[in-house]
Amino acid sequence: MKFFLFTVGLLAAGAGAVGILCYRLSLDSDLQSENRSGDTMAWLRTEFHLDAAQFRAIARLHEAYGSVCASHCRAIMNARRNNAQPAEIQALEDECVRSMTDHFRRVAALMPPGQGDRYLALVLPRIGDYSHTGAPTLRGTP
Amino acid sequence: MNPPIDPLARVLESWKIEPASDPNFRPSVAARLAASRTNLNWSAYLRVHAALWAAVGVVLLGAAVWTGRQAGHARNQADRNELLDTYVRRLDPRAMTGPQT
Repeated sequence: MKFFLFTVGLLAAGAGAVGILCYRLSLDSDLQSENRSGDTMAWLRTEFHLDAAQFRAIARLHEAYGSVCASHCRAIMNARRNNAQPAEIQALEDECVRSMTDHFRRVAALMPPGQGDRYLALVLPRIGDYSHTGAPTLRGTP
Repeated sequence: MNPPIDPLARVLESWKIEPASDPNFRPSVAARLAASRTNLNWSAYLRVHAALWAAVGVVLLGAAVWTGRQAGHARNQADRNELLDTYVRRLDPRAMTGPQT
């Protein structure tokens, strides 16, 4: 009986060690470091296989969109601060969604063939629903 | 004429063996058998049950590899989704201005 238990214990420990090793080997270290640092642009580059020129063009586009985003942000904040009518705030948010959608489409157009469509399939559902509930994951499922 | 009687043969005829009986003989044999059973080492045990433990080992290692890889992929997927959410939030003025009214 003691040999039985010893063998079971030994195999279980070995299997645990192998499982942990496989887990660590399966991790994407780039992805982890990008997530830790919050470097979404580095992630965008690797995730959608952007070359240097495409990455620079998209980075410029994002920078340019920053001012548009800030103006929408100010307008929404002012409306909320002034207790504007819900319809007015909704109109501002709709305008914001249209602007973001246009921006994402422009970004997608700069991506390699096939990657742009994948990018839009991931980001558009997330802006369509502010709560992000039910937006697809990278596997295409909510 | 009869041959002379060999004195050795006469001695052998009269020789009787009467060994003293050992009252501990049976218990000592039983004790030695028991000791040999408990002294069986682990490698001998494994050799006896080699097929069983090889099968158990293959199944356990296979399950460990599969589980480890699945957990790693799930973690990668979670990291990607988190980055994607962060990326969109940074470009979404509604997210920057707080909760919806």
